[in-house]
Amino acid sequence: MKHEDCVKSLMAEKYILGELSEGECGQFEQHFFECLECAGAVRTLLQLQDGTKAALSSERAYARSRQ
Amino acid sequence: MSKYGAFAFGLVNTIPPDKIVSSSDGVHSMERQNRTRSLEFFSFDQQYLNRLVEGDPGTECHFVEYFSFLLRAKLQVRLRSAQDAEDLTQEVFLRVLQSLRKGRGVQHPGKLGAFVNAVCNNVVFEHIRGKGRTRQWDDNTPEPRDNSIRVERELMSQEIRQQVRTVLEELPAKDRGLLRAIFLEEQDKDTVCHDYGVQREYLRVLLHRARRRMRQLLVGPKITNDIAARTSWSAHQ
Repeated sequence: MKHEDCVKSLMAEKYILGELSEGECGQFEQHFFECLECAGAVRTLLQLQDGTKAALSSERAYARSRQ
Repeated sequence: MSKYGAFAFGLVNTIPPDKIVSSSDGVHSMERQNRTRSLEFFSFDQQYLNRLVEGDPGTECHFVEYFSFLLRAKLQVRLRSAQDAEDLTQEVFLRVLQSLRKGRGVQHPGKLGAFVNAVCNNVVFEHIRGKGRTRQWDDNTPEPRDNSIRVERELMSQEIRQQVRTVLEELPAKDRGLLRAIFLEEQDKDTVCHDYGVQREYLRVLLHRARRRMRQLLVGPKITNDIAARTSWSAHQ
C-alpha cells in the first residue's frame, strides 16, 4: 500500500469509521505500523474519538444533572 | 499489579519523560519535553532494538507507549471491545518482548512495527477462535459492560483533552452533532448521514479536518517557527 494513496483516499479516516473491507483493513494496518505519518494520523483520530466521547458524555451528564 | 507487570498502562504513565533515551542513543524526536510530541516523530534503529532486548526501562517504556495507541486502535476496530483491546494489547507486548529476547522475530530494526503487527494478528486470531469455542458452551452469558470511556479518560493527557475540546468548540453545531452520533452514541453511520442530510464522504472530510486542526494545535507553533527559521536561514545563504 503506497503512502500517497493512503493520504489521497483518507485511509486513516475510513479505518476509524470502520469503512474498510477486511483485506483493506489488513493492508492499511500493515502500512501504518511502519509509516510514521499514517501512524500519527490514526493516533490523532483515536484521540479525537476518545476525547469527543469524554467531552460530550461529560456535557450530557451535566445537562442531565441540571434537569 | 497485573500479570503483565511494567507493561500495564498505569505504570507506564508514571515514568518521567526525561527517562526516555536521548537522541544520541538513537531516538529521534522533535520535542523531548513532551512525550506526546516525541512519539509522533520516531524511527527505530539497532541501538533501540538492543536496548529493548536488554530490558532498558526507558526504551521499554517508550516502546510500550509508542505501540499502545496503534495496537489499541487496531484492536478496537477489530474487536469492538475496549476491555478486550486492553487485555490483548498487554499480551502482544509480552509476546513481542519474549520473542525479541529469545533472539527471534526482527532481522531489521526498521521492521519492528511489522513484527508487532504480525504478533497482534496472531493474538487476535487466537482470541477470536477461543471466544468462538467458549460461546458454543455458554451462549447466554451477558456481554461485560464496556467501560471504554473510563479507560479512555485515564489514558488521555490533559493537553490532548484540551485540544479536542478546542476542536469541538470550533465546529458548527451540525458537525458536533455528527461526531456525537457516531462516536458517543455509536449510531449507524448511514442513518446518521441520512438524518443530517450529508454523504458518507462528508464524515470522512469532517474527521480529516478535525484531525488536521488537532495537529495544528499540537505542533503548529513549533512547526511554524521551524519553517520560519529554515526559510530565513535559506534566504541568507
